[in-house]
Amino acid sequence: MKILIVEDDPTAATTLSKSLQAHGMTTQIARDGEKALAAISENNFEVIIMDRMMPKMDGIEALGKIRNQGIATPVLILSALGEVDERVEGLEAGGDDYLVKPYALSELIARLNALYKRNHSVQKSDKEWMVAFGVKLNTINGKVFRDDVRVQLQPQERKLLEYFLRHPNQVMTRKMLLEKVWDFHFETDSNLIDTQISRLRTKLDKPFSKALIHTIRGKGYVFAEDLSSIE
Amino acid sequence: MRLAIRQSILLSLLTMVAMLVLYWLVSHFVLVQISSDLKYSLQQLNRVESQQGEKGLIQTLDRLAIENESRGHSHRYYLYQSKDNNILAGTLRHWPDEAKTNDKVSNILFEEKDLPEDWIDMDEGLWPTIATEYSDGSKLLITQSIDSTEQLNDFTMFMMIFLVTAVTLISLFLGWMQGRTILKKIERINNTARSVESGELHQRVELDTHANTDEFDELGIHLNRMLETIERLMNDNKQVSQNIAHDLRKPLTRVQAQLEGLQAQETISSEDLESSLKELENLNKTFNALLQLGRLEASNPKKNFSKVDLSALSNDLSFVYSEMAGDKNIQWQSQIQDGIFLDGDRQLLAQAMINLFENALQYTHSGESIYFSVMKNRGRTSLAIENTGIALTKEQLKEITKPFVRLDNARSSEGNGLGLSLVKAIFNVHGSELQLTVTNNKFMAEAIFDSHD
Repeated sequence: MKILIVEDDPTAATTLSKSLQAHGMTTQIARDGEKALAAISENNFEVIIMDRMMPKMDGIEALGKIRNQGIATPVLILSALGEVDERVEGLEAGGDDYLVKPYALSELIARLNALYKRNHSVQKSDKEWMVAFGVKLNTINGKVFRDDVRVQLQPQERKLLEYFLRHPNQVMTRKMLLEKVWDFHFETDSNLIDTQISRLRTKLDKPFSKALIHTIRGKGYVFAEDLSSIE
Repeated sequence: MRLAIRQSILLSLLTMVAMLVLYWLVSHFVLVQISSDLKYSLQQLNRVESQQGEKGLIQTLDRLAIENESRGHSHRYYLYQSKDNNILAGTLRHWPDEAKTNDKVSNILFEEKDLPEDWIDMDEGLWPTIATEYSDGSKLLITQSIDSTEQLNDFTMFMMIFLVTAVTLISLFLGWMQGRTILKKIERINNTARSVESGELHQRVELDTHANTDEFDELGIHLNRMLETIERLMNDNKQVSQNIAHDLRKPLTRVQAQLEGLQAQETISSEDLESSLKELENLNKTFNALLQLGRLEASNPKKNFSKVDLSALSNDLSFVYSEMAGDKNIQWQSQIQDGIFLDGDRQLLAQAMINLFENALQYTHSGESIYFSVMKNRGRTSLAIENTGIALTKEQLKEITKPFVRLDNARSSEGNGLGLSLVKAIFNVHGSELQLTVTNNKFMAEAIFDSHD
């Protein structure tokens, strides 16, 4: 995965760059918005990490210019600000995800993977049915089947499953699931997601021979048939 | 003092004006009285003339002259003259030239030569006079010396000067006294202000408890209350700062020790770093919570407000928490009315509810129950969480919403002691209060909101 890191703090940029390289990614650093635009015109990146606060041209402005040039590369905005409207502002400017500093590296990597795969995965499901590993979810009436056996789910559990079906084989952090399933964008120690996962497993995995929801220790959860393909 | 002088001058001027008006009214009243007396006398004498003729009138006038004489101090003078200006009766020696026989009272100048010889010690002057002419051409004149009137006027004038002087002096004295008391009070306030300025925040304005309270005492009372609030806030702040330092130093020290330990190792595995990273992560969470708390208290988060479906949010959260409670063998009861909306921030409200739920789960023992309700009554929405297993004193109830205040039995468990502070701040932002009560070993957290209609 080829990543452009747009970050004005040199220490933060090199630390991040090294960490990502250690996870098998290729990185390039741009120190401000203008340099980022230049780098993008020269190279093709798969994901851009954009710092929100930068001198000269801030992240939002740079993002606007990137989108104006018709470049659709997924952008993850990093910010030290955490207010909800700042997040909304970032996403409205064309950002694809938003992460507040300080963050755990595993959180960032999970999100980068999600952004990368979103751009590269082929949509297998049609409009009515979302399908993966023998699990089917009818997006119209909400009915769920596994191996053609009806599974009864609560609305929030169905939302969780829907998100898993959209992102098979991807590590999802608790934070990501809280954001996507609950639309909660705050820090919490609550076991909300873990409890939901546990209930979903009871209903979707336990009655069947093969488990599909897996826990990746220290990282999050993944919806997959075969864990060996997950990095 | 200048104020007192100004006030006393003003007061004296007002008194003087009042006295002048009084003086004018008195003299005017006396003159009117004299005029009507003169008219009345003339009418009576006219009647005597018409009934008894010239003779009768002369007799009456002579009698009046004797009466006046016997009184020793006559103030009224008469003159009765025939057509050819022969004096028929009366004590006046001369008919003044200006005196017209028009039956009207007018002021005529009487000189010494007009007055009776034996009463020449009388002052001459302008006296009210009335005169008439009878059908036979004879003329009658009545006049009255205004000697006694002048005496009255003199007395009034004297009283006026006396009163004005007295008022001036008294008001000056009172002003001086008042100025002294006020100055004393202001001086006290100034002294306190100086002390507070130099850092002695515990200083208070000295108040007269025995005296009647005036505006300055009230000012002192208000200043004292203000100082108390400021001092309390400062102390709270100090306490929070100390708590921050204390709560953050411990994990930092642990991380330092761990890292120093690792430094001595030859190879470091990721497991070795895990506990240090966990500590740092918790530190960051604490800082984030502190920042959020600061933002909630300082800025106006209302700009993110929208119509929040409180019923739906409560139902979704309550469902998952009922499962968490079930896992701990705690009974979760909920009563959530449908269709309740709030004007608010969904993120904040969810965060507050989660914090309250987590608290309840933490303190409720296995086998006990948690009761959660969201109800609307008369346009007001109540959100309440009740649980057993926690016995708090009233003092503790007040304390636990303060940052970093944790109950002793919670010290060992996870959490940063900011949860309830955040809940309180979030409810405040929504125009509500976090009300904490303990009754019969039941702890209840409740907030009442104005519902969105």
